[in-house]
Amino acid sequence: MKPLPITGVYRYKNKIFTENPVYCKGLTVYDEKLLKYHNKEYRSWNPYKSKLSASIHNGLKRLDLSEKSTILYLGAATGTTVSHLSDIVNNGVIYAIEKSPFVLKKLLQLCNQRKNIIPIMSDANHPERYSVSVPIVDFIYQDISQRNQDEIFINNIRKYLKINGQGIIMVKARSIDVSLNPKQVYNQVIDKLNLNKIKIIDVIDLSHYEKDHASIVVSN
Amino acid sequence: MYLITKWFGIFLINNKGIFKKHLFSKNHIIIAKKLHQVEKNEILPEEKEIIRNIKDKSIIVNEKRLRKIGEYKPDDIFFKKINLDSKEFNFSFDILKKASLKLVEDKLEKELKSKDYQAIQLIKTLDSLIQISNLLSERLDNWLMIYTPKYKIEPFKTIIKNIKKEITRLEDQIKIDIVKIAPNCCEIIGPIITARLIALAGNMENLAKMPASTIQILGAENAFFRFKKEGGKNPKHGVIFQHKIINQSPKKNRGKISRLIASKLTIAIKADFYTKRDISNILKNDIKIRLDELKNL
Ligand SMILES: C[S@@+](CC[C@H](N)C(=O)[O-])C[C@H]1O[C@@H](n2cnc3c(N)ncnc32)[C@H](O)[C@@H]1O
Repeated sequence: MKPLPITGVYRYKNKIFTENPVYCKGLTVYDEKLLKYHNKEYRSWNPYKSKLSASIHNGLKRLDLSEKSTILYLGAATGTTVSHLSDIVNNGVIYAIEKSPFVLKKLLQLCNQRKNIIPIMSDANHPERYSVSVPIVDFIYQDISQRNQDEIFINNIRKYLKINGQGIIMVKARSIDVSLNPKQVYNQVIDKLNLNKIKIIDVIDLSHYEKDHASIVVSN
Repeated sequence: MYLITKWFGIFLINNKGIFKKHLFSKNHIIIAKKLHQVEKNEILPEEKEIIRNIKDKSIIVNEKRLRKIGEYKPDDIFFKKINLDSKEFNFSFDILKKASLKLVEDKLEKELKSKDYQAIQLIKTLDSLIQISNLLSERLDNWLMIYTPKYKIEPFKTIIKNIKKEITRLEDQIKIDIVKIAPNCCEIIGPIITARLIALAGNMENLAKMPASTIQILGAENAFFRFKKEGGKNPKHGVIFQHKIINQSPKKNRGKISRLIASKLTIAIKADFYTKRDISNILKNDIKIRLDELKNL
């Protein structure tokens, strides 16, 4: 089990893992495998089910995350990726925004199980609606397949990301513009981020795991 | 002076620091209630209270909700500089966690249990299936025009057949469900269109609050509902136009009739949502009288 440069992420053979906290021993969140190694328990992180895992598999090297980081997570869904981030920021907090009641039901089970996830039923298009619960954060994660996903990201960065904080957005080319080829869409998003004084740190194509998706790592 | 509300309290802050504060109770149920009020766009009594008797009346706020008591300046950089940390005020993070869980659980229970929410899910699925089925049938027709081996066509036909079966099954289910929650509307415009109206409005309560003029054009902006199956290609018309009482009447009367139907629907939905009384006979009779008048014009 070899630690990767990204805090809290490990590699074993061809798979990557995060460490299951002691208080969740034996518990899985989706259908991931548990692996015992030197008295610690690790959860396998499936790149086909989580775009962050796919990004790491495809070369993402650095993320400013520590055990104590606070994360604003937009589009939490049932919590597949949230659960691994919850392993990583074991002593931090994840504010998980999700608008769909259907998936929230499953997310609540995860929140009940883990101490560091706050569920918020809200629309990421209106960041000020959750300002009473969410403070300035160290990191923003966004995975929302909507046409205006770049605007949503920019507005949330403006309101909640600390200075020199980091963010990552999972861009789904086809939900922004089907008539353009994916590369053009990524470039469009990058231009828009630049225009809003957001720095691009890395762009990772998620091919092989997700069709027409890229992740863009940024800093403000 | 900046007014900032956090889950643990309310703060008045100026350049020198915190000028005045009001901390909430540490009981997570009380906090959940406050979060709920905030979500409903209400101004908290504590917020009104804290700015009473303040000499400096230039209050700046960062939530639209608070526009009535201060100047709304969400982009003022001051708000980003001030990071109020709950721990400094002895509020453990666990309180927020319990409050948020309670809030979301309550909201989910209300929403998922509500019959209109379930009906909306059904009608949305139905409309997606109708759209898919139309697209596939069109594709098949195109295919049949050129030579295509039979073994390629057959599985395709089976898919379309199965989707159509599912459409019928869903329609039947919606008819049963929607009559229970909106019987008056169903009598006027039929269960499927009633379900679409509720879905477009978001829920029954929203629909019950809409004026007739809005109900009349509800869905007009949405090409999604303009399926061949339903007729009614004209984007000026809302979903109520899909009903034969409107689209099978003489062209010159259609505007009048859809206005008539919409006005009766506002009464019907109010009865369905608030009083839960069956007034469908009265409404249908009114409609009949007016239709006869139009015919004899
Ligand atoms: C692709 S899924 C996210 C998957 C998740 N990130 C994971 O890896 O486990 C996108 C989610 O975003 C949610 N969503 C879409 N628009 C939203 C909005 N405006 N605000 C909040 N959530 C939204 C959807 O309900 C859906 O659950």
